[in-house]
Amino acid sequence: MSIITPEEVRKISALARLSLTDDEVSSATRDLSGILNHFSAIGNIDTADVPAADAVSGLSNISRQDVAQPNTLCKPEDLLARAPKIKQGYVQVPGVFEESSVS
Amino acid sequence: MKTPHTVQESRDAIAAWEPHIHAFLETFEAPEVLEGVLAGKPIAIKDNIVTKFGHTSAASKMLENFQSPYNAAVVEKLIDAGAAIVGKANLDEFAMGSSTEYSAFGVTKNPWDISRVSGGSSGGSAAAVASGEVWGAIGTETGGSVRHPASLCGVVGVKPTYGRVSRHGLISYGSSLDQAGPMARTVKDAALLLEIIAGNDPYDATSSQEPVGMYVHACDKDITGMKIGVPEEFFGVGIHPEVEKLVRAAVESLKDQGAIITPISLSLTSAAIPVYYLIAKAEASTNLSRYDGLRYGDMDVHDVSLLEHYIHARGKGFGPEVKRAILMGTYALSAGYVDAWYKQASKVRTLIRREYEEAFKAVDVIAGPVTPEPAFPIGSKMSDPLQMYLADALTVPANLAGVPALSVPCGFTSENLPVGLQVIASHFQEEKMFSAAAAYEKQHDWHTRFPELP
Repeated sequence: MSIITPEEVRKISALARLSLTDDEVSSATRDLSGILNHFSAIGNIDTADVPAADAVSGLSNISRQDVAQPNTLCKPEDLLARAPKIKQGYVQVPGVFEESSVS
Repeated sequence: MKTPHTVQESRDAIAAWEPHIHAFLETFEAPEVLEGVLAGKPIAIKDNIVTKFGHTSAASKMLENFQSPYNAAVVEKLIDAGAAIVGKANLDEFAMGSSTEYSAFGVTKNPWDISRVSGGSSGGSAAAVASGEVWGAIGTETGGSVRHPASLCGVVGVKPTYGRVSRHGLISYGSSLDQAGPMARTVKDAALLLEIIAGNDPYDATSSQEPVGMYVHACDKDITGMKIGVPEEFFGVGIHPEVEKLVRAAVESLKDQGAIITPISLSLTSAAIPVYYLIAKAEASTNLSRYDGLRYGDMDVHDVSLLEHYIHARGKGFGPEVKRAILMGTYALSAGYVDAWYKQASKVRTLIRREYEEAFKAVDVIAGPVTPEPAFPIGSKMSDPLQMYLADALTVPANLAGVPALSVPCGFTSENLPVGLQVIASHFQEEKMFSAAAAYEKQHDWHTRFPELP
């Protein structure tokens, strides 16, 4: 039995905000099932009293003074020059509250 | 051919080699620099490391026209040391892959045999060094992406301890794993590059305050009495017989120089691929959520709602391995599955880390193969993603454990394909790793061999 079904692939792709063609859904179902089938072997490893590896650097509570660092700031014109679309000195993006908005 | 030490030498080599190997996505007219430790040495930067000049695409259509407003910390440090940044090197899209075949802008071919892959994901960086287009390069690793192509292209590639080099300005893949590392023709040159790029950075809260070691100095250290562990699991199923032979001969060579060789067991080696891919793809699925098709480039999606815009732009902008990563990662993190997949993988990661910590109580460094096989033919693994993942079987454990590791050339197969010896050390013990690798290199002349221009 396949570990993952085409319906699950569609559900995940919707959660991930990722459009897939029908062909991509088929190949993802096949590939992910094969991969996860191989990966399922780690389920047999006893981890009953083992903590997750959440902190890998051994560091904690790294903080700095809450002051602006001017050398890290970019000039507005530099940032605008890098935006895909600009209009009257602003970055142009689709409206959030409109049905159809990208001009 | 020879190693280029000036911008002009680099420019000539790039003109000769680029049509055959496609190591670069973009090259620059770098000015000659006369001062600094690196004084004009031509360097390639992997294109998932941001530069204020030129583009930073991560080999993705999603970032095809992206220009960073700032330099990554490693780039700033190299420029301060006098490096001439001559180009942005090709990679698998967002550093996901082991062959550069997943670059949205075409594969990088192996300079030793252009019908074969250069490895990945830092394949462009490795091929540029191997061909003599550049003196050195900076790659990045999430799981083996410096050592793997270094091994396949016959150059030195270093993955530092997690936290040794600032991640500021690296395009994030798996944030608990990502680390930039140097590539060069000799161990000492790679050591010099690491000395330059290593160190604490206030812009990366995971960068360590441990003092940077004397890596160049370590390259001249005698290894008499050094304890080297050889994990038998690294020679398990799937290892190419010629790779095994060359690596075992390299270990013998270390023994001849006074090192004490001890067989060891790293019993969780076979769990590393599942654990690595589940964690890396889970982290990738969240890191890649920022690419909405609005901020970093125009994905040419029109007349739809904002939600549909995101969905279609991401479908258009991402390639096959990145989509697979997003799907696998989202699955492993989703309600009902997170305990069995992501959390279990994270717990096994703790066990892997403990296994390495335990091993390093008995030995100074660990030695073994870098990759199970030499460079494979272009296209041979593209229809089977699991086979591509298994190319990383012997490199990802060091990433999961967070320890430093490198690849140093240790010979050629009967088909004249380079093979690498892997040396792994304990956290922040890069000096031991460089001592062992440099001691090996001094007894051989692999690093003086160059591929023939096709």
